[in-house]
Amino acid sequence: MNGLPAVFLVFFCFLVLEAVLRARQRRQRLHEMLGDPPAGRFAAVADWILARETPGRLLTRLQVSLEVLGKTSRAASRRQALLLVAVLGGALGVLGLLLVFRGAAPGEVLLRMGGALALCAGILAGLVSRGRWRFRQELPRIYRLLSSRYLVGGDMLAAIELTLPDLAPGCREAMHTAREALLLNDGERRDKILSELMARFDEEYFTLLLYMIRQGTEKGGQQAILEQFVEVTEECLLEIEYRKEVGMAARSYTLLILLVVLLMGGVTLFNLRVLGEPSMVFYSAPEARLFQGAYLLMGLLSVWLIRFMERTFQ
Amino acid sequence: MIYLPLSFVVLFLAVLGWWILARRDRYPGKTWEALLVRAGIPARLGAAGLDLRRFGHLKLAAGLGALLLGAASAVRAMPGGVVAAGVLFFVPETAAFLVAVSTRRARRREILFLKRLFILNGSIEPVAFDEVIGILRAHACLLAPLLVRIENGRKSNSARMRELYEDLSIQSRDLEVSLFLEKLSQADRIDFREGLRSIRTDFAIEKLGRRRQCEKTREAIEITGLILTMLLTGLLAYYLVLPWLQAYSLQALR
Repeated sequence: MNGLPAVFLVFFCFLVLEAVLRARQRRQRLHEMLGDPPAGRFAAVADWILARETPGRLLTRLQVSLEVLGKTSRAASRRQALLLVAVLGGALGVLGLLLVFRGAAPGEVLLRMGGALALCAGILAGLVSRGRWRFRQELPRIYRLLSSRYLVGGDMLAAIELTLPDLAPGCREAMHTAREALLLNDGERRDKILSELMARFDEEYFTLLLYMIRQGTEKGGQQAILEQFVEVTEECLLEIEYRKEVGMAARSYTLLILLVVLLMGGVTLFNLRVLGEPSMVFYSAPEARLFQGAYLLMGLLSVWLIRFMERTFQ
Repeated sequence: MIYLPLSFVVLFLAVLGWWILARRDRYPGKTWEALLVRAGIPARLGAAGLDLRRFGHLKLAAGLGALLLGAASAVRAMPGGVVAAGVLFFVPETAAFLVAVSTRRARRREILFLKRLFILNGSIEPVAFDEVIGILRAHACLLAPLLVRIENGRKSNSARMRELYEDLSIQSRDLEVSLFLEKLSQADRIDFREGLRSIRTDFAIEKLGRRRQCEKTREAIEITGLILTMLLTGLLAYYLVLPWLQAYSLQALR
């Protein structure tokens, strides 16, 4: 009987979703017939979030990561980022409703919702970190391609134009924006666009690359630019190697600690199966719950400490 | 049952401390902050860019929390709670230490990036110091106030740049920042190319040290990870054995 409200809730959610999608489709068709493109509500929500400082920064980071990982355009990645956040938020809401419908105690609801929230945050943080890592990996290749084309032609803008088709879509759009900005006569506007690009990707070697492109376009000086290209590419490769080394050590110990923490469930199951009744008495006591909580907390603190050590290196 | 009156006395002392803190403006020099100053904590906190007043509040809150937890644990005879109270009491110091470590590393990292920017933008001629310092200021975070003061000093006719750089160097209380400011001063006041060469040499030396730093961090992570894993495994083994020890008395086996 416990599953009945859940089934009902899922069915109800499907019905609502169906109704919303059909209404949207109808509205879109109407707008198409009138030749008036609908003002994107998605874009409006995204703009509203981006106008806020911290949520905007977080959404931009997620969007950039999706752009690099999924090799999509900026608009598509913005939609995907919003959709992902909405889906995770919706799943959290449904979980909360399910728990309330099942008549769970407030403490249990809080605990489970906290765990689910941490899991969602972990998924988003993992995506962002993966995207940044992929983008960093891509940078030495961009440096190499650009320096090679610049060496042949001696013109930075032509070198960027030649390089664009060889880049991954996420990076291609950024480089295309940089090129368009460098073509502008208005120096202030050009600097603003470049600064926005630097802030969007927030990657030191990308910032250096943009400055190098700007200096190459404005001042020329093939020899000096090429020297800088070689130096920065070497540094970028070394930095990637160092971070990889430290990151591998941190990840392996994080996994080990998480494995040991998760083994607690196995230990409980083992004792319940082998020992039987006395272990049930032991595990239902508040001291055992306290021990479990303290152990989980210690495991999380250990993971955090390892990640902190990794982060301080960067 | 001596714990109960003792905990009330300690609680009273804590409330008294809170009262003194609340009236710190009326009694300057006899406040929680003054005690912290005497203990030499602000110098360390200042290096991390932390606010002493906030730290004082955090410490007081942690102290009160630890006292309440400790008193409750002592009354209910729970030794684990007393240990937790002890840990809670030192949470602000641990947090301050971690923030200090993190800030110091972040500042070093920022200086390294600013040096790289200086070398890149200063190597491609024609170049002026104003242009480069503007770029550095746009990308600085922890060093931004220093760079803004240098920029403003350069705009002013009456500023004595040598004194300004020396003042900034003394105020920064960080050797890395002082070294960087010396090179900026050289590029600004004496000769831009000489300054650029100094920064380039310094950057090359730091690049060599980066390899060593990477190895040190990796070793530290490995040692910490190993110790923590062993600790958690030991606790897990204890958790595995505990119900068996409760179910079967070892005394009966003799």
